[in-house]
Amino acid sequence: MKHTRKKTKLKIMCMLLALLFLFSGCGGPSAEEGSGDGEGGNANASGDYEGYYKTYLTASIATMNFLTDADGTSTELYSRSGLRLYNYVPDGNGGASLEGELAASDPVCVDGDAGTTWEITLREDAKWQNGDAITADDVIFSLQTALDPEQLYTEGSKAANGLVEIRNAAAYLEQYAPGNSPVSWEDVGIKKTGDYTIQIITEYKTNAEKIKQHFNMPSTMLVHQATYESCWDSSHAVNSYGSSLDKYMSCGEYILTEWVTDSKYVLEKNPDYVHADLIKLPGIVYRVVADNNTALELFLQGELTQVTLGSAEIENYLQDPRYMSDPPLQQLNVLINNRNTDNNGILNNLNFRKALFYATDRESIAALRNAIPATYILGTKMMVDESGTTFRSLESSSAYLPENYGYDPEYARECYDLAMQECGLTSLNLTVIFSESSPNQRPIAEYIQTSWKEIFGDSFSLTLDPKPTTVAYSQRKGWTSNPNSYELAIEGYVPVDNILTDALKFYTTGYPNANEYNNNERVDALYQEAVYGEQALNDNDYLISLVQQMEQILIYEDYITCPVFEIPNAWLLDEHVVLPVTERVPGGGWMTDFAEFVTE
Amino acid sequence: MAKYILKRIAGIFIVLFVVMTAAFFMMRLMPGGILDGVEENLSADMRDLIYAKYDMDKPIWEQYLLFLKGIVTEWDWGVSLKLYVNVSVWDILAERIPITLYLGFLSLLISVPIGIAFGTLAALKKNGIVDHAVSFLVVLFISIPSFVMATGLQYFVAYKWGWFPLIYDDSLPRITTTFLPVLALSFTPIATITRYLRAELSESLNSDYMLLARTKGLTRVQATLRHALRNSLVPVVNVIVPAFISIMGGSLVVESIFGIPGLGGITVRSINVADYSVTLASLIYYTLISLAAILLVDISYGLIDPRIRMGGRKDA
Repeated sequence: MKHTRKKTKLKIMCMLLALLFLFSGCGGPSAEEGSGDGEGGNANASGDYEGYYKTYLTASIATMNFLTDADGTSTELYSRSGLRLYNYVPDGNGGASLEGELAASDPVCVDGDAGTTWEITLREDAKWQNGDAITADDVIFSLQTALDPEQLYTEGSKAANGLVEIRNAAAYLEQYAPGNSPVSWEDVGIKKTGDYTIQIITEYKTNAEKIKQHFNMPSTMLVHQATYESCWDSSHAVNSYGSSLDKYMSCGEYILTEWVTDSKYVLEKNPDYVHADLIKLPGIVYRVVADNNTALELFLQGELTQVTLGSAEIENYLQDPRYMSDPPLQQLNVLINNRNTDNNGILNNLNFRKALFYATDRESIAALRNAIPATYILGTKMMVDESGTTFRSLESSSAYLPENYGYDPEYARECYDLAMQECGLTSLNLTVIFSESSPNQRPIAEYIQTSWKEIFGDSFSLTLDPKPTTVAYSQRKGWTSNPNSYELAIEGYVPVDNILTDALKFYTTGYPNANEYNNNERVDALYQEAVYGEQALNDNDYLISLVQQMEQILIYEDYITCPVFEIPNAWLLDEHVVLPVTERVPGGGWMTDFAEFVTE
Repeated sequence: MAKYILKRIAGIFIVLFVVMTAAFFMMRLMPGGILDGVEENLSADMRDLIYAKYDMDKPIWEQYLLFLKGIVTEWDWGVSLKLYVNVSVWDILAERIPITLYLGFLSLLISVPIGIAFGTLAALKKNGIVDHAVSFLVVLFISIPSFVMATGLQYFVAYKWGWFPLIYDDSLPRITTTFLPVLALSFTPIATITRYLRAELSESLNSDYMLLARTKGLTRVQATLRHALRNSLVPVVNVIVPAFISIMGGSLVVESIFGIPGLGGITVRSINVADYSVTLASLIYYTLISLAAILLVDISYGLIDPRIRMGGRKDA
């Protein structure tokens, strides 16, 4: 009897376990499909996606609300499903230009020489995914949402003064900070002047091109009011707009039709898009593939249309007809914390900083990662104008660059000895922090650890201190409260490639979150002139000369940082894809959203 | 027994509270913050306003009390600030727990019978070729971490031979698309169970009661399965919990490799980007699962061996 009872208990336990297993198998990731509105809907329930452009993300998207996008993973998706006043459009001749997307035409200055009041006329045929017309009210609502002083969206600052300073916009956004005065929305320089016209009032004189570039930024994209307002929580404190398919409204080139959390996102062509005739693809499929080796395997199996190549893989595919390369998007520098007071403040000694600069064998280090050695601040991607001319290709921009990529070990040793003497040191040990997960930072650190010691002698040593990315980031930024938070670090900034002054703003006095202390008045004055000066606004050559002066001062007078190399950006593209542009468009990329497949 | 279970459940809550408190303070004290990587263009005022909005300008102990107050009064565990902005952490977990549990339980359900089978075979054929082969596999499976197995399976089985999909694909039957990750997670537990059972069973096979069983007319296999195996299972059940916990831990990386939308991937990511709420909720979940597994195993002792009574009265 007892034996029978125990057998029964065992059977019940096994059944419970099996049920638990079944339950866990029944649930799983939500696969939201179909818009259910208008003509949208998932036409590929089988998952074949024939003819679709198949690409991938390395992480799941954080949100489709571009105002809070914390890490940029969603950029492509909301860029392709959202609408901007101005956007890059292929011109049919292998190039692209910044044209009206929601805007029907270029901005028009309505206050003459003052150049601060600009009127933008909207198209009258633009629609949301659900068929609602897009009007000036949508634009005003979107900008007001971006600048909401209670929600404090991180992208709001860019909407306020990213490229042009909209009157009172930043003050409206930050009005609740201690010491700030209340600002009413009526005082902000964003006005509706008609059902399809808006007016933008700026603090400083600007030009149409800058207005267009400002309203090309993701932070100025449209938010669907009804959807947004339905996404408030019960206390009206948190808004979950963009956190799922039913909490987002498309209106751009494509409509977001499928959202499988952490796994797959599908965009389908929007027949109501303002430039629908230029869209050749039926849709785009995004898979989440965290590992780049897996992504490469998927590409080689034909499951992906494009794949990014890691530095180590570039050599294997250089001769491959599918190989594509972009101008590097980021440059890595050895950052020098000139506020550090350890070692008698040697990091603030000019001769020491020169020693580090000239002791760095950039060519050899770059060869380790198939990178481009750099002795400058403005990278090879920085364009001077829409023609595609790069800053670095100008003769005047190369004239002041040193020979041999700035590598002069003898001169470096002289500067080092002088610096040690000036600081009263006989030996020196420094620590360099870097992101342990970055495949490009560690080779730099390891190389300079050996090479600098060879040049400077036994009195010098460098300790490597790899850290998680967020920890390294905090330590680099921590010098403002703790001057000795770090000594050397490896990192760089990522400027916008079609804004010449963007790479230099990081080195101006008072730039928030700089990696090092900057207070060169000449650079500040030049920067002000370049960004706000009337001559720079109208004379591109003058602007270029100002930028060149700033770069020379920062690198070749102050030696504020030690550039190393630009990170290569290479990828493979399916041979059946035809891109609308022959070269990468600054600010617009390769415009794969306008690509098409050709059959052999 | 019921009293014992209730006591254990109360203990689980106490442990969870301790874990939650320790994790809360540890994460707040770690370098890094919610604005890392996005604050390049924020003014100092904007930065301060954002920190004030999420009470991060207050002392940590005050933040903790506010956190507890939110849980007690509104059952509010917070929202994600970085990974899935403004989504409630429990919504995030609820969507991902099922597939992680699916992987974990399926791995365990495969590992236990296979481990028992191999262990029994090795014990019965002790010092023979079969035993040596099984021992070799055990060493291999224990030595090679699950993520290495996962990468190898993905490369050879999925990529080279094309037998299974490279990554998780929701358009395919779940069993097909999760076969390789489940297999990768199962190797180590199979090896562990095999090794323990082989050792225990080898000893049991030489016991007096086995001799009696044989004398009574049972075959060697019958005697092993009906008597020796059962006696050997109690210590083996002890390793099932660590095996399950190692499966859950291994799934952190395996899920990333196969692109599985489970809890493991976001736990790692939440730590890296300092998304405190999600990290805390994930830690609590993993702790709860581990403690529940331990409790289940303890209860199962009584079922396997009638001599063991958990929480029973001691006889005078």
